[in-house]
Amino acid sequence: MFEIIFCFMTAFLSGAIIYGIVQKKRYKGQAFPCTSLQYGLFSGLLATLFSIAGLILYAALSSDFSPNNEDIAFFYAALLCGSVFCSALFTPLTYNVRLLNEGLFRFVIFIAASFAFFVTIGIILSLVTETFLFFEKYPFYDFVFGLEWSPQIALREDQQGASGKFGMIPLLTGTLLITSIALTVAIPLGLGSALYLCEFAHSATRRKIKPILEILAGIPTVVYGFFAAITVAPFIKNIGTDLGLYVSSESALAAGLVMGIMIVPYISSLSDDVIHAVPQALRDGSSALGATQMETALKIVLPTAFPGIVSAFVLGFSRAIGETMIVLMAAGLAGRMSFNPLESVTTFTVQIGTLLTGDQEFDSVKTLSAFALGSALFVTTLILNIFAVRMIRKYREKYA
Amino acid sequence: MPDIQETFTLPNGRRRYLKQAIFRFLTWGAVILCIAFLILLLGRMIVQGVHSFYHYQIILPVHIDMTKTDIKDPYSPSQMDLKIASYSPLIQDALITKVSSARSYTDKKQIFKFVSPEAAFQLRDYVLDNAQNIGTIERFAFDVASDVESYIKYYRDDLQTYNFENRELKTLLEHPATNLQKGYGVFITKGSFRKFIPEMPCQKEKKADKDVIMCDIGMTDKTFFIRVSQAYAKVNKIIFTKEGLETIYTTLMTPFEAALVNEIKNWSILKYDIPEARRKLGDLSLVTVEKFLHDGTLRSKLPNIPFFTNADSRNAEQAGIAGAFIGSVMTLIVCLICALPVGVAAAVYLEEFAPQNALTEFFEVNINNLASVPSIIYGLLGLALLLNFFELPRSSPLVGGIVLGIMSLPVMIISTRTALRTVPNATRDAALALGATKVQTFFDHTLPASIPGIMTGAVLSLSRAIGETAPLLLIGMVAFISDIPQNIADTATVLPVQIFLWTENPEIGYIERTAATIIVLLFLMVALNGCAIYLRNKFEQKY
Repeated sequence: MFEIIFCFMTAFLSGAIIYGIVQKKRYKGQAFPCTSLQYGLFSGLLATLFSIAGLILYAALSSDFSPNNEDIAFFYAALLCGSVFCSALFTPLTYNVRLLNEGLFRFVIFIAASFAFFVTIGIILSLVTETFLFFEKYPFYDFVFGLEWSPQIALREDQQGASGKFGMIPLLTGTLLITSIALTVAIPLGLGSALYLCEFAHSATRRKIKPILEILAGIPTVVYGFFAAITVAPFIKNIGTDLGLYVSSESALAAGLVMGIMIVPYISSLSDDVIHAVPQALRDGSSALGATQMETALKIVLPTAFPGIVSAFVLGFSRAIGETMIVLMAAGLAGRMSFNPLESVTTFTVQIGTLLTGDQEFDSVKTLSAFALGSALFVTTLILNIFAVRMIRKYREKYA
Repeated sequence: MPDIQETFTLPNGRRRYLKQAIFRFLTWGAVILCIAFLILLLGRMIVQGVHSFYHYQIILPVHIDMTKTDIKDPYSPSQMDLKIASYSPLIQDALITKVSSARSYTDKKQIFKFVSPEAAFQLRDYVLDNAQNIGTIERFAFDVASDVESYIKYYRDDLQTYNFENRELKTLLEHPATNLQKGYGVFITKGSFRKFIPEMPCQKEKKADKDVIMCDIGMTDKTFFIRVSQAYAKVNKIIFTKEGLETIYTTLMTPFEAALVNEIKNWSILKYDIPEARRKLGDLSLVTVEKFLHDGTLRSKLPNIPFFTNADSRNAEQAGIAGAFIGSVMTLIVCLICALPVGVAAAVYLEEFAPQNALTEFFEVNINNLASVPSIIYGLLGLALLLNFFELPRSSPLVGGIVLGIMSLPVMIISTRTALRTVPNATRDAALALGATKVQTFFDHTLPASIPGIMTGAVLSLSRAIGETAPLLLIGMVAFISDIPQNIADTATVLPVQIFLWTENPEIGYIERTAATIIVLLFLMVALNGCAIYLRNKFEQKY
């Protein structure tokens, strides 16, 4: 209660002082000379100063002061109220109310727009700091080129294999294996369905089928994971055992197949867009020369749309390496350098997921290694996305 | 021009059209394959999940006799004593009264496992509310333990029944091996078991100068029961004689008064292909399930209420989705509060007010890049920033909602921009020409015209956020939580994480619940999407 009264008092005081300044200036015959941005900053600054003063006073008065969450919250509340009071008092006095209000509004939405930028900064900062902490404890070279991944931490000093090994090459091969299986499934299906919808299907069929394919994109990945773990993996294991092969119950094949189906809608809708953007004149020209629809599609449409389609593949690839739930539920945990799709392999996302679930102390090498993996993942997907967007933009400039 | 002549001769042309047809078929096949996969996935979920929407209850008359419990003063118990007393002996007594043939310790243990461990709490709550009924006999409907429930739902079909009408089964009361007190009975019949001989390890033996075939069922992985009007006997040994007579040595599983009649006309053989050692339910349990289902003690109940009102539990039959559902709702609300204002404001700035400069372009590129960052990276952000730096409560819908909000921010911005773009420039120009400022134009004309589009985008991004799992794992929403969260700072879990948690549990009761949770989750998503489509159709304006 005391805090609230205090906060309002501070705010009222700050507002009142601004009011006094403005009145004085008015009597001198000059309007308060400021733009909207300056106004906002000025009143905010004043409110901040008063809040800080108030906070110091509060700290001096209260016997057991320690800057905890409550005090900080109180500080911010005072700040906010101060600003609101200032604007409420100040607004009727200025000569151009409308412009001031609009300036304030524009300022607020500008902050909102830059929030996405702050998010990026936040991501980069949190990844980079933890990654640096990791490399202080574990050599960079061993992480990037290490051939062994076994992130256990010793319980006792003299334990066997006490220090964990954090070489990311097994994870890289695992990720590539699963992703390439996924793309082997997704590229023919995605491109095929995009070609069918664009080149062969009637518009009525197209309108019916497109939403159905989009349902595939809407299904949560955890559902795909459940399906892969409970239905597809045992199915593959049974078939493999019947053929006399050794199949791990968490095979890369199961995870890759289901992940492939998951990426199909991304690839198909992106390729659909770029194929649709190919000028009709090119198709008509090809048909006029006597080419069949297939020849037009393969020799005219696809080469024309090639950059766009490649960027669709790249985006699909980037989504596949960032996908977590399917691999977490259907692929294994053992870091194994293997290109056998019937064995269990592990990926970046699986390791991030397993290293950070459950209660762990935050500064252990094990936990920090997850952030290093996260950084690698972030950088890779970022590069892939920028590449894909560049390509698609070039293509758009050319044809659309 | 001989080349062109050659190209257009008929066979070549035919080959080209054949190729065209094949290619067309292949692309069509790609579409069909995707749709088939979708149908397979949804069908599988429905087939597995549908069992979770009904459950079995056991109806037991329980004598509320407090002297049987460990209560200190059973004749005038205080409320506190009633609260801490152990009520399972009462339920166990009720079960033993029902199954009087369970005498040995192992038999009793089997029968005690029929009722869910939660039943004692149900009884306690009843006694606390109705203390006047202490000493009386009351009928209760308890939940069946998950082992029994999954046996009835999935494995009971493997119990094959062969009914014999008008084929005699004689009880050999005078046979030396018959001992009704100890529960051994010997029957004799004609030709009923002959067809099972190939499935049994049988030996030829000479007995009293006759060639007989002796089959010891105990050596096989099959279990045979004889049923005579709800009295059951387990077959131990059969001796086939040349005349076609079979002497059957059995253990009586239930009181066998019916079989004391010397000649029985209507009876059945029950065959179960899995030996007792590999089953979760023992022989006595199987027989008891049959008896209970027949006399109505066990009965199925269609809406599986515990599934919809309980939170997670270590007992599959008690595990429900209410906790995860409430967690999901709270998380979504926080997510919406975080993402909607910021997302809409950012979109408005970029679409309506932003000057054409490098900063704006940078913002746009940045937002597009954020949209394609893998979701697990947002989990890392939440872990490092929200949990470790700001020290917000771990595993709470608050943090989950903020993380999901940040994650759906780019989607929200992009969809709002699309919505704003559909408002034609003529509307803006007209307002500006009448002297309105840009902000007035926006609030009075652009915003009202684009609100349906903005809401559609918001609902769609919510329906994406509701299925998101990976970032929530990292901020600790993956813990086992058996309480329904009360506020947004409580520990909670959400529906997709619940699916993930239950998938790791191999018990079939959890698998069916996982599939049912998926059905509920997909249903929610369909509802949200339907809501979005409704909004779009209702308010959409064509310009």
